Amino acid sequence: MGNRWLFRKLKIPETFKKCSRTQNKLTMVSKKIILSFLLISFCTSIQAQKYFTKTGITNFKASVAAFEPVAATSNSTTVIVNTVDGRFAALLFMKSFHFKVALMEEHFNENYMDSDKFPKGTFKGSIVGFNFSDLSEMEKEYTIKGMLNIRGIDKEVESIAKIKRVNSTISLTTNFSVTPQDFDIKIPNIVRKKISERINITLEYELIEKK
Amino acid sequence: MNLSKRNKGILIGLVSIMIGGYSMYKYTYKPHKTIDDIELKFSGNAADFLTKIKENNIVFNDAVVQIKGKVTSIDAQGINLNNAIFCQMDATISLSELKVGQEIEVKGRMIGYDDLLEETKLDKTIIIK
Repeated sequence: MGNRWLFRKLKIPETFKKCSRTQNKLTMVSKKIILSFLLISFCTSIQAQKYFTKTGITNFKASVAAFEPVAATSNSTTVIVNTVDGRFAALLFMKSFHFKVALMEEHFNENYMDSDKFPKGTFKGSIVGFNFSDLSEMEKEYTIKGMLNIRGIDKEVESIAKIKRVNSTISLTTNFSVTPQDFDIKIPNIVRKKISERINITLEYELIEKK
Repeated sequence: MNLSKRNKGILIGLVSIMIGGYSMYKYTYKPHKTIDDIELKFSGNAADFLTKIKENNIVFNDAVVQIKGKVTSIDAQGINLNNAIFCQMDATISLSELKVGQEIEVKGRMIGYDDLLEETKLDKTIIIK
């Protein structure tokens, strides 16, 4: 009898220990859950800070006065701007460039850009000193720096962009110029006089928040 | 008509220059190809299309495709099918009667796979039904 009592007396703290251990485990698990929830919500809040467009307008002009204008527009440029750190990425398909003259478009894709081999042009960079809360309806000038990749060749590009925000839309316009040699594009002698040495690229992007 | 040999020569020359000039003009300023001019490379539903382009998307670059799918979002820029195909509409198409969740069939030109947004892009899209 006495023995059993002693045993019981001994066993009680044992179960207590177990109890507290499982409790500890439980609090650990719940802590982990809370932490992961926090992390997830934190991550999504970062993800929400992106503005984008799928139909940005990219123009280029390489016209020489008195000759047929050499110019094209693509209105399906994809652009994503991270409004937290100002990172900027753009992608466009060469074949989405539309020329006024169909034959010129054909030559652009087949002879100059090799659009089947290099279908994309990309830009990856950042808007220097970008701060989302500084944006307003007044246009502000920012420097965009980054890598332009055309025909698989990288070229560093820097340009001044005008950025403003009206309600929930950020609009960004900028222009810069490149040369055909930058991307190893060979222009035959016959048409050399009709294509300007510098190609001016104009961008007009209206970005909306990515949800 | 009595034409001297010399006049005949001039006339033939003029006519051939005119024909040549006209065909040159026709060749240089030929109209843009429309969706209906280009050969249809795929016709079927969106899920099949997505598996096909996963295998090889280069085949379909610049090809005209006809796709049946579910509208997952509509905005001013265009519509999204099955959350994976973005269709930029032809300027003549009105989106006012479309609803999210509707099954539609569209025809457009695939311009490529957009790896920034991870979706396939079509342009010049028209609605078949």
